[in-house]
Amino acid sequence: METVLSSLIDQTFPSIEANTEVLNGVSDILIWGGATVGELEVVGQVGVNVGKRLIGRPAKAFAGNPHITVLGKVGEYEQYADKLSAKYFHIADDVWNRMSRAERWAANKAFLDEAVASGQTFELSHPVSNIAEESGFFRDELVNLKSLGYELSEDGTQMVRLGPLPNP
Amino acid sequence: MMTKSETLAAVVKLPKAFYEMHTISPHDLLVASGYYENFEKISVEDIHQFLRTHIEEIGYWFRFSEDKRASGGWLIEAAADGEFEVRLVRGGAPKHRFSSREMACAYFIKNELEWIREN
Repeated sequence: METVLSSLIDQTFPSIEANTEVLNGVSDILIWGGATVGELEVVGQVGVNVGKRLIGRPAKAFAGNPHITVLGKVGEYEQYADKLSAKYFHIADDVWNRMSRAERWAANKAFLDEAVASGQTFELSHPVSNIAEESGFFRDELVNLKSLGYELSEDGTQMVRLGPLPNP
Repeated sequence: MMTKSETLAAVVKLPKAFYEMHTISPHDLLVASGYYENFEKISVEDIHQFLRTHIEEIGYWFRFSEDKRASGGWLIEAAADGEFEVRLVRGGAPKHRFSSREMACAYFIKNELEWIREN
């Protein structure tokens, strides 16, 4: 468990020189919504940056729909995910404000990659007719999924896989 | 120590710096701007006046808002009727509606800066 968390934190926060350790029972700081990293199902708390010290704890079991991940824009995607009891990418406020653009995308991409590897269905919080007309991280997420073999569904409400799962 | 005008320029240009520099966080940019020393001197109207002559910054703030993947703070969005809405990402607070894009953005900026400062 500790190795998995250390690897995840190193991958996500390369700019932080972390003295990483795993402590049970640490209060929520960094929330990583619903990823599975190695043998660790990460749906709750992963890590906290206290100065240069990172602390994490194992996640609790995910009580919602484990097969659906919701993507979209702020103000929409969280509510839609709640409605579907689905997973979504989310980071605690104080950690989010201390992440660079590169760190934010690294965390976002890691979440997407794990969702792809576990065969998630990707629901979009609003219909998309053309990925190129979207903007920001949401467009980056859709472009990333497209590079992994996904396409927009006909009604634009999902990203669906056209082929088999990519090799691990 | 940064002057009020220096801090005002730095905070309004915060998201542009954030997106262009890649490796620095909003928190660190806010610290470098002098906002923590000058936050009480920077008003929504100050930001509005600055934005009127730097409208190119507004697009960066809209992207900064839509890219958020945290549940705190504020968001700004264009409404279907052509007005602009500023509201908390989560919570029961009412939406604040503006006919002016610049005024909506100024209101969003001040509230978002305060959220970053307090977090």
